[in-house]
Amino acid sequence: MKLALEMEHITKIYGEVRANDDVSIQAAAGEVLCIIGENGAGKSTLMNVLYGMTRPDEGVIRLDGKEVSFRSSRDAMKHRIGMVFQHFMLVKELSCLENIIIGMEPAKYFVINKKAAREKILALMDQYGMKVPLEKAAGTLSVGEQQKLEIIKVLYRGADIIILDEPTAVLTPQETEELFVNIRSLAKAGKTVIMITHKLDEVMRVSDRIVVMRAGKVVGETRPENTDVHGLSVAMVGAEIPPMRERMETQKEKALEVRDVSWKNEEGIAVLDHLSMVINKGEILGVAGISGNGQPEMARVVTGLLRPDEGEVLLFDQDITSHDRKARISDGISFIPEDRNTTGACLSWSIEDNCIAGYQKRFTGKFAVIDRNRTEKFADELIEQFHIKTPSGKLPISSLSGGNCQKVIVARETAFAPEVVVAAEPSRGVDIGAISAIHNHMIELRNGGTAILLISSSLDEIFELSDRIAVIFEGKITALFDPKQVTREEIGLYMSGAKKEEMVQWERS
Amino acid sequence: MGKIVKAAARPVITILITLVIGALMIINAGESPLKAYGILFYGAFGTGTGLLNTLSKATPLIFTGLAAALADIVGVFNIGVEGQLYLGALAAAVVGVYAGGLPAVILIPLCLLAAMLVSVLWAMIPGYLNYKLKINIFIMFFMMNNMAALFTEYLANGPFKGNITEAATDRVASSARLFRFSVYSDLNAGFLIALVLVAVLWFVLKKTRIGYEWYALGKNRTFSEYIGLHAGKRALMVLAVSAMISGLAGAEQVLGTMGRFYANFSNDLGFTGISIGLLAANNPIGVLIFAIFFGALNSGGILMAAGTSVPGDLIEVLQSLMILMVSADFVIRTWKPKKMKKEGN
Amino acid sequence: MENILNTAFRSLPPLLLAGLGGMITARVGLLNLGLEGMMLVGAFTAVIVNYFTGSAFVGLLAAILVCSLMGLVFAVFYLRFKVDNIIISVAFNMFAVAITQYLLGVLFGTSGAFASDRIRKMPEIVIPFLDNIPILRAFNSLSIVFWLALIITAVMSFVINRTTWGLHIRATGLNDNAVNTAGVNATRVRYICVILSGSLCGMGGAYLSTGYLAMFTNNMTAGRGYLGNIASIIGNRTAGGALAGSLLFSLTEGITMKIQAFGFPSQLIQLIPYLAAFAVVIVSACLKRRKAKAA
Repeated sequence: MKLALEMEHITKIYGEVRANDDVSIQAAAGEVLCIIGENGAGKSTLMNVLYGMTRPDEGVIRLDGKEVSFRSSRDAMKHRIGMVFQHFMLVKELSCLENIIIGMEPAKYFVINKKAAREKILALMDQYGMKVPLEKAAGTLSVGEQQKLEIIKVLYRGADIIILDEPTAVLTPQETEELFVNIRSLAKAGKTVIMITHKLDEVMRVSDRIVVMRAGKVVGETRPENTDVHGLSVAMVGAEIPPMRERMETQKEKALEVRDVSWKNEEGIAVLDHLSMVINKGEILGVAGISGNGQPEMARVVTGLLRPDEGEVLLFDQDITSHDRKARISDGISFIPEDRNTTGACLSWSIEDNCIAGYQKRFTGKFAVIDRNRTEKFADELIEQFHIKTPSGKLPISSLSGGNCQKVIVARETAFAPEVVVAAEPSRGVDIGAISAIHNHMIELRNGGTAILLISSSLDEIFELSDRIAVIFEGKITALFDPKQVTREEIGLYMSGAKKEEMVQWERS
Repeated sequence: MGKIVKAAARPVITILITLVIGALMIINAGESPLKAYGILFYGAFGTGTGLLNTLSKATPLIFTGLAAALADIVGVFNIGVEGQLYLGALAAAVVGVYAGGLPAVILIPLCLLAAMLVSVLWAMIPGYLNYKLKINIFIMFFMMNNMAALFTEYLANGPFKGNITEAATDRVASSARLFRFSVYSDLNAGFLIALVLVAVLWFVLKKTRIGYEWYALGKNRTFSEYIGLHAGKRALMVLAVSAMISGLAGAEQVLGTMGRFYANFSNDLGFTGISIGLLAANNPIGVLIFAIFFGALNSGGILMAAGTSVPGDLIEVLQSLMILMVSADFVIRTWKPKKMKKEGN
Repeated sequence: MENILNTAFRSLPPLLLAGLGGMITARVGLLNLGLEGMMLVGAFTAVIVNYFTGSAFVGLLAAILVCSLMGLVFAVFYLRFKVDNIIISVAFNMFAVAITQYLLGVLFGTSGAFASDRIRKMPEIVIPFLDNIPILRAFNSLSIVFWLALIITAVMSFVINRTTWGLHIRATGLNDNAVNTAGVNATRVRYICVILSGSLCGMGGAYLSTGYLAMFTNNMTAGRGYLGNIASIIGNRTAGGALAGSLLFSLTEGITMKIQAFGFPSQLIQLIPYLAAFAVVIVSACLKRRKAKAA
């Protein structure tokens, strides 16, 4: 088979992270290639390189044997590469026809020839068996139809290589079926389809060939007939389990409970779907999951930043659903958010000011005056206790490295003896030294009786810290494990939705 | 100390560059910059009356500057100051005329309260529509500035028209008038109110938790919600405070300077205040300094135009140049990282 | 009646041209409140060039050119240096008022107003037989700019709805990400639209000082640029709508002049277009909200 695409020895480094490390893949015309891997495995980086959105530090791309280099996605488009993003690039208010032709309008003296455009599109839709209503506004279409529109848009631009980024993440099962039919007919017509996904059962059904990535590297390549979901899962998440950190026995008393919480976003999608969970005092509950399954929303519901449509949040059996963020701070629910730069810290402020954020009321005296002596002392204490590398707390927090900045947030959120700590991706983008310091501190807190909800896309972190591991999938907790009695592979199956439990038993004793 | 120098560097440089450009324009007009600026300075500060006039011209600008600065701190650019000022001014005048029998200790606070209340109500229309329906607040502010001018003109020409040919109310009762320091100048107790306001706002912003939270809101909305604020409601509240100050600006003009409400009296007091807020980087003390500087230009400019062949409009050119200069400051700031990036590559 | 219409038509072009300028920038997602200042500079340039060359046409061209340049400066500040558009607008408008006054003083030694019989007015189009037809009479002896503005409205409507440029403009304001990934440079589209808004204001300003009147007075635009913005809001950001919005303003101006004689409070009539604009923004926001909820 002739190779339509070769990417060889692609390396892309962001800061200290090797997002792609000597990655090579090939794809033939008429082939459906699936690239699977956990979050941060480097799939998206690789596709961004292919679509010209970032330039690789090393490596070459060849199309039909000829070496090419892209400076922008426009270059990639010219070389007949098209991409359908997870978040559609549609102008909702314009008609489907206009969305398809924009940038490549058939026109005479700049006047658009709609008839010619329609004929060309109708021919395409016939050829590949895909239909969308051309006169309707794109925003009125269902999600599945919008995706079809995106694929037609790519075909209209003459793409031979079509990249689909997590195409099934937003689709209903029926729409997924239809998409797969369409993908097969594209392949039959000689197009190369590259699909990024982490849903393993789908991979088994649609792909001709599968590339597995982990930690920026290609770790395996196979065909669906030579493997099964289990095999893929092992390859994707790895088999090694890091040793669990030592910890003390603690008394099991229910601290936080979330009951049947549901929330729909503006598009009407149920991001949280009857989610329930229980965390005990002195326990770390690790929530594993592939991103995009409702993790940030879960954290925001617990911390009072998001009011759920349905369901309750209870703290020591007291209903706190109606408590806003401010009330939850006084309830003792602290939050280490996943995006420290936009939520967790105010970058233009000093370290000292950031150290009291959320707890500013504790530092005010008469007439709401902030006691600067106390804030200064407090900041210095945190800096010393957490070995934050800075000459002074008066410096802006933006002068700190990512790890030290995260330490400030962790220090602040744990300084006032919280009852519950919600830690979302506490080690993302943080150096190893800081990770270890943060992890030690979390164990210490746990031993002291704090309930900790750890939300992480890193299974290593989950295994290392958790007393129990829950899996979140499509806004629901679908499994609960004792980390000593479960394998990575098993968790991987639940994370990818290949397995799920209808009812999770929270009370075991 | 170093901090003060740093904070002062930008406005001082802005003023210096503007004065240099002004000097070039004065030379172009065939005069000596030294002489022209000398007269300007003498007119603004050289005599007692000149000084009083400078402060009197500065007074409304302190109010409008503070109003604009305060709203901008929480991320609401209040370009509706002009309209709020008209409504406040008229409210003060109406109370001052129709409740004239009351003694000063009751009447003056009553006038001020009325001005603040009406201004707040006026500002809450776009504020609330923005909060609930997410309508672009600038569009509404702008429309409501014109509407305020028309509406108050109608009221001053109809229901509240005074015994005077112009579109204006009657004189407010003498017990409603703010104390004047000299018969030769309009400077009045409103200036003292403005000074108190500068001090109070400075204290609230720099020293208290309230200021801490307002800054958080303006710097980063997500962060402010994370630390426990209701961002939308809090912004609306600060807009209300800003509108109160705009209303006071109007009340000072009526009760102190003019004695009655004249239709369309403002001559861009609101917009000049916005510029002053920008120049002062929203610092209340900076607002005070720049307002006095603008006041000096206005009062000294009259003498300069009379004493030289330089058109008095030069003053306004300089003032608008200063705002452009502030934008230019943005330019410098956005330029830097780009350059660095290029070098990095 | 004809009087009112004629007055309205005479005051229409600057409002309409500013309205179109506001419309075209609103279409690419920018509230350009600097129209006012641009128009004032346009009026000034037209008078000055007209005075020195003795040609109304050259004055018009110069005004368009200068204002297009102002549009370019605006665009550079806004798009390249990311200065807040409201700040640029405030600075532009204040600067325009000040610099025109100042230059008037420096060039002619006058302050406040400048008139001269060397200033040529732009030609008016006389259609002899119209005078005999009621109502339509109002269309007679209107400036060439009036007709030009109407033609421009039609052309812009066509361009926006039927051509490739129009599609790019429409899409840019709605979702520039989508436009960029489709291979169209959204920033370039924005540049062109802001510059175009300047050109339109230049024309409007030139009409004001050398078509409507034959003189320049300080701040003679008197908020017409802002009214243009509001007209485009009333018109829901379409060319035809901008025409309707500016007609509403100019009609109220015509009626105001008439009615003032009877002592009716003209301000209340002048408030009508603003209320209409408010109604439009509130209704469209409510519709948007309902749509979002239905989805």
